[in-house]
Amino acid sequence: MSEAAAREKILEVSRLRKEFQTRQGTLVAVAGVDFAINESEIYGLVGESGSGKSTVGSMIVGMYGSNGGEILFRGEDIDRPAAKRSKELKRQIQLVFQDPGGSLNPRQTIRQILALPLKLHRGLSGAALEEAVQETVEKVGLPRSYLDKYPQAIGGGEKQLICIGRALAPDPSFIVLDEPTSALDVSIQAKISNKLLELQEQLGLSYLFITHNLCLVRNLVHRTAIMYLGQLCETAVTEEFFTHPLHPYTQMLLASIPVMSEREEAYKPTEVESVGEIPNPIHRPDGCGFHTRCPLCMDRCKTEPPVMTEVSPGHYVSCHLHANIAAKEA
Amino acid sequence: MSDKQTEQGRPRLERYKRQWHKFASNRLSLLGLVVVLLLIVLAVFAGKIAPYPEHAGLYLDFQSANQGPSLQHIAGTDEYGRDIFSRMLFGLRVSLEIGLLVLAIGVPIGVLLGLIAGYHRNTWIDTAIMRFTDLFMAVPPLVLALVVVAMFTPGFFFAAIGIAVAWWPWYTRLTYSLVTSLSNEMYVKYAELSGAKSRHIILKEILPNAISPIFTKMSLDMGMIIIIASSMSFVGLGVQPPAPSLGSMVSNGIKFLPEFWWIPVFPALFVVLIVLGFNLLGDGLRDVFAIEEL
Amino acid sequence: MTEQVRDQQMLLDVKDLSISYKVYEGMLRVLQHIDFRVESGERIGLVGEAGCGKTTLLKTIAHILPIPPAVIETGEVWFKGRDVLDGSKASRRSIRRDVSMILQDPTASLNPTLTIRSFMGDILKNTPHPGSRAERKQRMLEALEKVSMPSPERVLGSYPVQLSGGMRQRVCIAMCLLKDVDLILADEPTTSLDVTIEKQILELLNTLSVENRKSMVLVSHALGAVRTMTDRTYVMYAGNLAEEGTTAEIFDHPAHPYTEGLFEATPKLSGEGVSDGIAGELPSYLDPPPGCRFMPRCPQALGVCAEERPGRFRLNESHSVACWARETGRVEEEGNP
Repeated sequence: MSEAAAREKILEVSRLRKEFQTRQGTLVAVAGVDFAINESEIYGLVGESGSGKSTVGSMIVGMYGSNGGEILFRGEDIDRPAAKRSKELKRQIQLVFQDPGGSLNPRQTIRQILALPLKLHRGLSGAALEEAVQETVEKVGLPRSYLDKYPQAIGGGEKQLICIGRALAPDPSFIVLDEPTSALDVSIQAKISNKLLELQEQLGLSYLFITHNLCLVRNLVHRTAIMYLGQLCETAVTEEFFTHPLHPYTQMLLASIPVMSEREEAYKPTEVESVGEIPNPIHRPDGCGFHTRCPLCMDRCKTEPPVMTEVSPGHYVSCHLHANIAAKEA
Repeated sequence: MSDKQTEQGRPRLERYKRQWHKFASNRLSLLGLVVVLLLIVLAVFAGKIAPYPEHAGLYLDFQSANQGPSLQHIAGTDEYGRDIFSRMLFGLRVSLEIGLLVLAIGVPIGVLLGLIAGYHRNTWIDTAIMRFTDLFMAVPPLVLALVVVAMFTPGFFFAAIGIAVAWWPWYTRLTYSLVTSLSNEMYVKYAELSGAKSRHIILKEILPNAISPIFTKMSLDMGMIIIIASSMSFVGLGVQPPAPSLGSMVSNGIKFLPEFWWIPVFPALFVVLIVLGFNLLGDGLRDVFAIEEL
Repeated sequence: MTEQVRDQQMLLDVKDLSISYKVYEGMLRVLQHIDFRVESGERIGLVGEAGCGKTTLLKTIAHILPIPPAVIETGEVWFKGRDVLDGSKASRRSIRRDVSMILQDPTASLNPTLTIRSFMGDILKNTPHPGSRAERKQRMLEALEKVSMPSPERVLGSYPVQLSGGMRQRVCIAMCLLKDVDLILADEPTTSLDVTIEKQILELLNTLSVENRKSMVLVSHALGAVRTMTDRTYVMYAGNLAEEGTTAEIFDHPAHPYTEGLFEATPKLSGEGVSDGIAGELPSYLDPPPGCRFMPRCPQALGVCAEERPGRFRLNESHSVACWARETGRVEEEGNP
């Protein structure tokens, strides 16, 4: 990674694979993914259903191990379930889920919910614990009175703030956020996004921000990556990603977003039709996963999986067409 | 509509108030509750309320035998001259005590096994416990209870043990399925990822969310347990004479039909009332908790 | 049943509708004095966030609102010249025949134990001219082709669980076509679908409503979809109508502070950063404030906003807004708060 060489990498993923056995056959959820996240960076991972983005996030936090490839956290191999990870590692990597309602135990008070990670990761108890709990709830901008409430008593946005507080409590350096705002209304999404940005700047955190919402990613993350059927199609600095999308899938996705104003329409690639449906991941097409829908499909695409190529500094595309172009220019 | 709209004040209190309101809005559930409370009062104060408490033990008075319902004997007297109503009250006490004892033994064992099996789902622990449970479930409860009693001596205590032995598997099954579905909840996964110990996860994260269905089942079970206990007394392997037991009162009284009908009929009706009360209460509880889960 | 002589252009006319729900703590005042109309062949957008009452409104129109615990406090709903709320069988039948609702979750609308052919067959059998089995099958295939369904023959014999989300939603739309309804109510029809499929389904709905001259009410928080697919738009907040007007007017010149806030909070593809959102939260529906429900969060609140509900003020021929700060010419007297 030429441009980012100056910054330290906090997370490096190479050739990552994950398969699940189902009744109908083997489901290849992640089919060989490479990317890296820098310290204090917000990295957006975008994709539709079946893209494998959530599976990547799950492996990073340790829900399960991979079936191939490597995950390095500050140089340390972390590719194994959380149960087998060190305490320190568990503390460093935290997770915020999509559904705030389901992530909080309805039979526990907010205080109990926030106390758990503090007890487990920082070994606090007694007065120190109480103080830390209060500090946490204030850090996310909620009043102390909330500590005695049950999750049902507070709104969706506030529940999500508690989830964020819970992730921050152990004092981590890396947080995986899987669709953290998708279940919330627009006006509340903005508040949560703001809070996330604020905390990231304040504490120098690194985020892996997983979502299907391209507009959100456009405004929130430093670098963007897009996945389709388990493969990483393209990644670049956000501005570059959105102004010069190269991968045909990226273009199709951007062209499909319903936007609110003429001004935004201007930012969409024109003359790109949305065709077809996402194939069932159990029956992945050979070669490039996108070839069945790609308007620029060549013969090679049907049999040979493409390789990630740096097309311009910091801008990587996994596509035979662009690999050819880059090779010619080299 | 956000749930925020309707929750104010002290949270736990509010929740209980709302549950009560939901429960009380169903007349049948209220009826069940009232009946059960009444029965408990009758059982606890049987000694004070029964007009002839001594009739609950050894008593003979052939002068007053086989008398129909009257002002002195509300439910009549039996072949030994004992007041049936008083015996019914003490029989009630015995029935409730058996029910409580069975639940006190069977539920903790069943739930504990279910928690362990469910949490260690798909391991040898799961298989071992659940197959062991299946063994016990293969035998009808009454038969199993009778077998246990026959191994020892008939009487109150072993009757309770016998029924408990037959009863715990159902709680294991219930708890197992509850734990299995709750294990998929995000907050449980979070606790696991954070490295919480199994004990914490089972007791603090899973169990509090599983309590409601277990509680409901306990209430619904009371009726069934009392019937089984009565059946055991009916065949003579439950509570032994002269201690009063609703089941044996019915079985002994059958031969006096139809002239001295009151001897079996009142105790039998009483059993019906008890079972009905607990069933209505249990149904009401189930409705309340079901809605709350939503 | 007076006034059958209603303007035949006006397919649906909701007047002064107020609905509350009875709950343990009291009455939740969910809708307040809603006026809502749809003309023949019109496509209407309904914009609002969770809790604003849009689903309640749709359910009332489709006659599927559970009446206790809901209570209709005031108002009328006129559909094709008939008062829908009069409780008569005839009006219920009229709604069932001529209105169809597409729900957010297509899985929930389709019985998992029946094949697609069964659903569609049931609908056809209840139309005035069911025809023979072969004829019905032909119509089913035509409907599926109209919604661009790949391999329609195979789909007919499938169960819903064998189809993808996009395909299920297409089936629901095809069923609307079969039924030949006059009004389609689409409640967040694409929220559970992927972006690329969303675009296809929205385009499909658009074409169909235009080609077949069916009126449509599109409820969506995807503002972009509403912008491209509707003629007129209503914006709702906390059970009240915030503003209404032609879609172009609303999107280019939003008048209500809530609408402005909503548009501002939506992240833009042009990369303008993250907005602060709208401060505050929804008011209590149990004990609603006497004035404007948006007042506590409104950056332009005036004194009168706390005391009195704003009336509808007409900004121009095609645009009216319920906001004191925009008071110009008052449209009409409404029910008092």
